[in-house]
Amino acid sequence: MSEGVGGEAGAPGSIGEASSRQTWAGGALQTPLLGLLQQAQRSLDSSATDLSALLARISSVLILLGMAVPAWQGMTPAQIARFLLTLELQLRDDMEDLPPGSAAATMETQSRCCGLMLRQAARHLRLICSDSLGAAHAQLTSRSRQSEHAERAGALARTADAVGRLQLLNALLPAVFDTSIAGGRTSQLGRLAVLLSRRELKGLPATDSTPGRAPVERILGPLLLQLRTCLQAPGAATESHDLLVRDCLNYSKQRQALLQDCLVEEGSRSELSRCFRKELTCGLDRLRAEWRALSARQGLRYLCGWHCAWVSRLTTAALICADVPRHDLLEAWRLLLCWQFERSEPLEQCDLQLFDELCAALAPGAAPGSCATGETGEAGMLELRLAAALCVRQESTGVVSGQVPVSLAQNIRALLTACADIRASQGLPVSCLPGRRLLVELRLLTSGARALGVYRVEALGSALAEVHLMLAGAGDMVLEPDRLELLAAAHSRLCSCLNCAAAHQEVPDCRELIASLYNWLDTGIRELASRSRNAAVRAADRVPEAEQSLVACFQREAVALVEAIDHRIAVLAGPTATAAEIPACPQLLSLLHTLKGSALQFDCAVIADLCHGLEQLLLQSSRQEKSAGSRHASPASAELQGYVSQLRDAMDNFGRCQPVDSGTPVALPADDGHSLPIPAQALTRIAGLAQQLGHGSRAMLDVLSTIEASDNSASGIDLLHDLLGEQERHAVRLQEEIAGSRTVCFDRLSARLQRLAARHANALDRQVWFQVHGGGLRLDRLLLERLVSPLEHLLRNAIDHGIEPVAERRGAGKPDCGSISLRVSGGGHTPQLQIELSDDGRGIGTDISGSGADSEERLQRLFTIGFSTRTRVTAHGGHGLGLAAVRNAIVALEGSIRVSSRPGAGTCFHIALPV
Amino acid sequence: MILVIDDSATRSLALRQSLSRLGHGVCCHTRLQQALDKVNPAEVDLVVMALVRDEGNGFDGGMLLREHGFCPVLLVADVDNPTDDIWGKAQGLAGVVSWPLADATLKDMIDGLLQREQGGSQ
Repeated sequence: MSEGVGGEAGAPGSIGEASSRQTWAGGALQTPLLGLLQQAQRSLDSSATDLSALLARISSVLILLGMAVPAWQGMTPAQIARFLLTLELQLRDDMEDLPPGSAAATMETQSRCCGLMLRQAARHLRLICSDSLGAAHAQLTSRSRQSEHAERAGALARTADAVGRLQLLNALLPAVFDTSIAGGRTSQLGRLAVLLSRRELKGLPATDSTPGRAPVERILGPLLLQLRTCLQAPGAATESHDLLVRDCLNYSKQRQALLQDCLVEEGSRSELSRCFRKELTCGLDRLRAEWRALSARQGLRYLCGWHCAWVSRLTTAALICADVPRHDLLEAWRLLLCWQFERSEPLEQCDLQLFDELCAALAPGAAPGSCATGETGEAGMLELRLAAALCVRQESTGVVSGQVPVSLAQNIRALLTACADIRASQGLPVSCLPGRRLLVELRLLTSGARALGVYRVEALGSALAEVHLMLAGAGDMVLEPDRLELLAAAHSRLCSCLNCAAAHQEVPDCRELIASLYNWLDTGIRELASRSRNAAVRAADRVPEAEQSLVACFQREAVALVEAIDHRIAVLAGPTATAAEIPACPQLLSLLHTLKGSALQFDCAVIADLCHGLEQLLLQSSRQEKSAGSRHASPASAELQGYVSQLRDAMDNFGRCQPVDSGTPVALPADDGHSLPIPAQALTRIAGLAQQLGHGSRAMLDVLSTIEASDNSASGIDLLHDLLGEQERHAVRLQEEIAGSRTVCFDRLSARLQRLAARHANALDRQVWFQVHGGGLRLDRLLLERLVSPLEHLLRNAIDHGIEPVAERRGAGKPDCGSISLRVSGGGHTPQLQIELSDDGRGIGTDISGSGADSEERLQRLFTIGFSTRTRVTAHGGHGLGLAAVRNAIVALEGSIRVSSRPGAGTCFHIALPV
Repeated sequence: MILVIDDSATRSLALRQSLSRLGHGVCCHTRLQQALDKVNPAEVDLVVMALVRDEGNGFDGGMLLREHGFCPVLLVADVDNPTDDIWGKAQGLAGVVSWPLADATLKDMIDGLLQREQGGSQ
């Protein structure tokens, strides 16, 4: 244990600080410490060479006690001697204070010792591993603006920290030890430390009247000390290790006696062990059968919660029967399984072998108890191997806690009450639902679940939050019973999912439920739009602007697109044109593609199909043209015109069932490219400011005329001065307001993209986690509108081509849920806006990019028309049109786009735009 | 009477032995639905249920029991995890304790719960 740890545990400790410590925690550590102190003093007197080793040991004990460690190097021998003496005296005093043989006192000191160790652990924890909890906290606090949110995030992190401490102690101890010494043996010793600390913390039942506690404690203290001693002396590790194992087994023998004394009466013991043997046989058989099935099915080598539950059940049964050797084996096994389950890691061949050996050792016929006789039995070694396997995995993956944090309990309570409320509110208007109250809880829940990687909870939570957001704007609408039932079912399912996560069981899949929620969301928004028109209700204040304007926006866009398509086709089909010009008309193709994408997003299959057909027709005729190499008047002109008229009809139909939304934002005709929609509220404010400016001018004119008419000009000029100042302030505010109405937060687009990602992933049966970074950035409204289509396209591409199906991802060793992130940066004062869309999918194959130095350029060929990585055309893509359309759109904004990709690791699109 | 719901024979037996030693009448069931069908809530003073069972988790089960009029519900976990207790209490359950359960601990807890229940009903 070196300076790193010592310095951290308590700054350059002064003697006074150490000796002023009144409480001596671990009673078991007092005697050894006293011995060490005396030894150190002796060697100080005789100037022996082992002084530094002794001091290091003392440091380690002090650290264990949670006390400050002095900086030995900087101290003179006299200072060291004084320190040691003070410490010894203090120690003796305290030992005399302790009533000898008092069970309560020992209990207290022991629990205090555990507490101190934990605190120590937490301190190291923060330093050594900046783990996911810290990250979760940072993520939550950085997002929040309201103090309430920050406070909750703090509570979340604090409680998660407290829970994590207990769990992580095991991972921590070896880490602490391993930093001080290198060597082959030490990692194994570290594992032993894990086992020991587990026993120390959990093994002893916490009752006052436990007989036999004292002997166990007497063994445990020196054992821990010995462990540390041999960790500090690498040379002696080999022999000490065997000694330790033997002591360890002795200890477990003692503990067995203790457990039998306190838990099991003589009379019922035989009955219980009979029962346990039966359960063990049956349980092992079931586990074995399931295990075989798992290992036989390829690609399905993931544990389910069932395994962990069964093993932990057997573990408890062994504990109840005081079968310590079996319990320890099962416990080690349980830890390993839980680790794999929580991180959904695949089983490996060595796990299967271990399981076979475990079954043999656990079988009721075998005698794992032989290890308690003092020999280093096979079962003991097996236990060490299990612990070793766990340690190796923990080291390789770092420390991550999949635990659902405690403060989410508040959410679950809110959900439960909401569930009851929803069922009870049949026939009542939507405003009676607990939606608004729940929104905050749901948001908090989803962000927490996201931070902890419980993606199924996150997906369901965010879908529900969207539904509540929609309902919040629905005012006095009365929900149909089946919708009400769906809402209640979704709430109780979410509740159940949270419970499963808390009980460390597998969270059930709720994809169907999420899909039906999204369906409802779609139809619900349309219904809302039509309702708001029919009833002429000013719902604009209540419905979120972005949601409400979506359909209207699409319609406006689609009408313009159809017009443009019609125009181009008319030119093409004209007498002067040839079919050869068709491929030279990429604008037409990209227009069609854009329209198709938007139509798909709004479930308007008719329009999408028509666009698809048109695209096919155009491409086909261009190919024919190329192969024939001849000129002839466009053969498909009649067919093209037919398509266009059908498209117009479809648009009209869509328009009839989707009335144009008359609410905000004020929609100016979007055809000339110079107009821009401004929210009504901003317009009101601008108008107000202009009016005030007008008033000010009139007032100044009045003052001016008074000055001209009268002699008292001084006071008049003062007044004029004030008025002018006022006027200037108004003018500045007006400028700001106008500038503000031009820019808009990127997050307005995020919601739309989120919905798109969820719908598209659902349609393609992928699991996707989409997140937007830098959504707070304000951009020009016009720029944002023009970015919608290319970004949507890239996002659809990422889900369609990038993210693999779950089975494939598992095969590649990736998490089930693919992640796509959109990063927006720049803007403001920097001259360029950078947008990055990256996924962790399969990447672009080397057959496209090549592997040489020119792979970068070859990748950029993706943006050329007609280039596709797909061999088959589907409704979702494969034409080789999309990326070309994206590039055209970006180039039209005077920006640039490029792509980078690593096969198997993901793809990233970089867009740079002038601001 | 105390209703024990646990699908592990050993745990069930151990609970039955301990509770009988403490002078309570015990009724054991391996499945929750079975208990809901056969047991009259009015006769049950306390439900002791395993947190992790084959058929589902104890939190959901506890809520179901409460809906059917069984109260209070004490969950028993295999692993000592402080979160479980807080989580359970947040959902209106009596709490979550973990094995091993010594008689003295069990006695204190059950006496406290039953007293609170009587106090609440008066």
